[in-house]
Parts: sequence; C-alpha cells; structure tokens
Amino acid sequence: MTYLSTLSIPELASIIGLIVTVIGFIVTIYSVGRSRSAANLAKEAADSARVRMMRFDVATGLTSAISMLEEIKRLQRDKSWQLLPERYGTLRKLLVSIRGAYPHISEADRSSIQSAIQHLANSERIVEKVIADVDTADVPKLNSRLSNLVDILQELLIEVKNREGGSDGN
Amino acid sequence: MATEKQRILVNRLASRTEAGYIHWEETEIEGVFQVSFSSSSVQISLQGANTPEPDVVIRLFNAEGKHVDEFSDRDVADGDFPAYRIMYEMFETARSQALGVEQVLDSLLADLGPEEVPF
Repeated sequence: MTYLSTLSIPELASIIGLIVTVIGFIVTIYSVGRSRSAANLAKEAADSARVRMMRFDVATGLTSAISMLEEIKRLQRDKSWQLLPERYGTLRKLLVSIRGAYPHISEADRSSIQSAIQHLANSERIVEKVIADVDTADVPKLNSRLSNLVDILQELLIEVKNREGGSDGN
Repeated sequence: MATEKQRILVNRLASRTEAGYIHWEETEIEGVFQVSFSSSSVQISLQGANTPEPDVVIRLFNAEGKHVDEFSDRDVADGDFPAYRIMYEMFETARSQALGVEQVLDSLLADLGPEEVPF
C-alpha cells in the first residue's frame, strides 16, 4: 500500500487497466470454452440423430426385404414365373442400398448381405431359364434357400434394432 | 496381368479355405459352392464332372451379384503353378464344408460310440 501511495494517477490507472485486461482475457477464454463445449454437444446430438435415422431406414429396409422374400416364395409355389424376375431384381437392389446406407455395419454382416444378394442373383438366373423354357426349377429347394435368407435378414434386423435401443450412439 | 492375379486369388482362396478362415456354402445349383465377402462372391464347380480330369471352374461376381469373370484350372496353369491340384483340393474342401461332412462324421462317430472292445 505504501508503494501504491507513491504512484501517480496515470501509473495507477495503467495498473488497474492491466488488471482489468487480464480479468477480461480470462473471462473471454472461459466464455469461448463454454461456447465450444456447447457447439460440440450440439454436433454430437446432430450426429447421434443422423445415426439413429440411418438405423431406422435400415431397419425399415430389412423389414421390407423380409416381406418381399415371403412374397417371392409364394409366387414360386404358385409357379408365377413371369412375375419373379422383377421381384428378384428389386429385392437385390434394396439389399445393395441397405448395405451402402449403413456404414457401421460389421464385415461379417456385410458378407451376409452379399451372400443374400448372390443367392438372389442365382435364383433369378434359374427363373429366367425357366421362363425361357430351357430349364426346370426345384421350387422346394429354391424356397428353402429363401427361408435361410429370411433368417439371416431377421437376425440382422434384430441386431440393428438392439443397437437402436443402445446408448452408444453409434 | 489378369492371369497372375487369378493365380494369386486361387492361392489365397485355397490357403484360407484349408485354414478354415472362409466358409463355403451350397448354392441353388447342384455341385456349385460359393463364398461371399463384403462386396463380391466366388463360386467353384466342376465342368465335365464325369470325366477323369474335370475342369475346376471359378466364377467371380460383383457387389450386385452379376457375373464378371470366370476361369478354369487350365486357364491359370503353368509349369510352376499346379492349378489343377490346388483348385481341385479347394473344391473338395468347399464341398465338404458346404455339405457339413465333418459334422455328419462327428455325429456318426458319437452315435457309434468308442472303438469296439475286442472279444
């Protein structure tokens, strides 16, 4: 205090100004930090919402795919061959889009979807030959394979839905 | 060169098949077996199965299940690469895996019990 009493008014004002500047600097840094945290939280919330929407789309797609497989089995039992190539093609494209739309899918699940796509392509070629009257189709065998695909897609759907209900946000 | 890549592919498929890292499955077509990866599939089959040395054929399919390439053991064989032996053994292993031969054998052995006791 003795030292302060020796200072002139301009010198005192200068010291007060420095203290105010330092305090202001600290307050600014704190405010920026809080803003960044809020921005990060907003970004995380947006990312989480986007992933949830993606999973919802995938679950919807898988449900449609399972329904389409059951329809194909019915048409094959009825030997409605002419209607089948389009169904097979649409279903294959649906599975391709599901695989592409879901980047978080595991390699194993990606391979399962590829296996399903390949089996559908195999069956589609058989049906095309039946339509062209150059081959016959073993409907029970074809439908048995499609039932296996239903099981595979059902397992994948359960996995996607379980993740949807999880808390990892991924 | 495509042929060199095909030989490398055959070697890798064969080694991973033997090691049990990849699992072949039946297809809709009798005698054709396939394995699928993240965005492609491979099928293996015999052509001329009733002949003494049938051709072993590998077919490649893309991410949409479309046939993009095929080759036989004759196409990739050369002096240093025993294509027929490698591919035929792979076919036999693929067939065994796909049809679950090992499981059937294990089940039979379990049902039959331990080795017979000599009387």
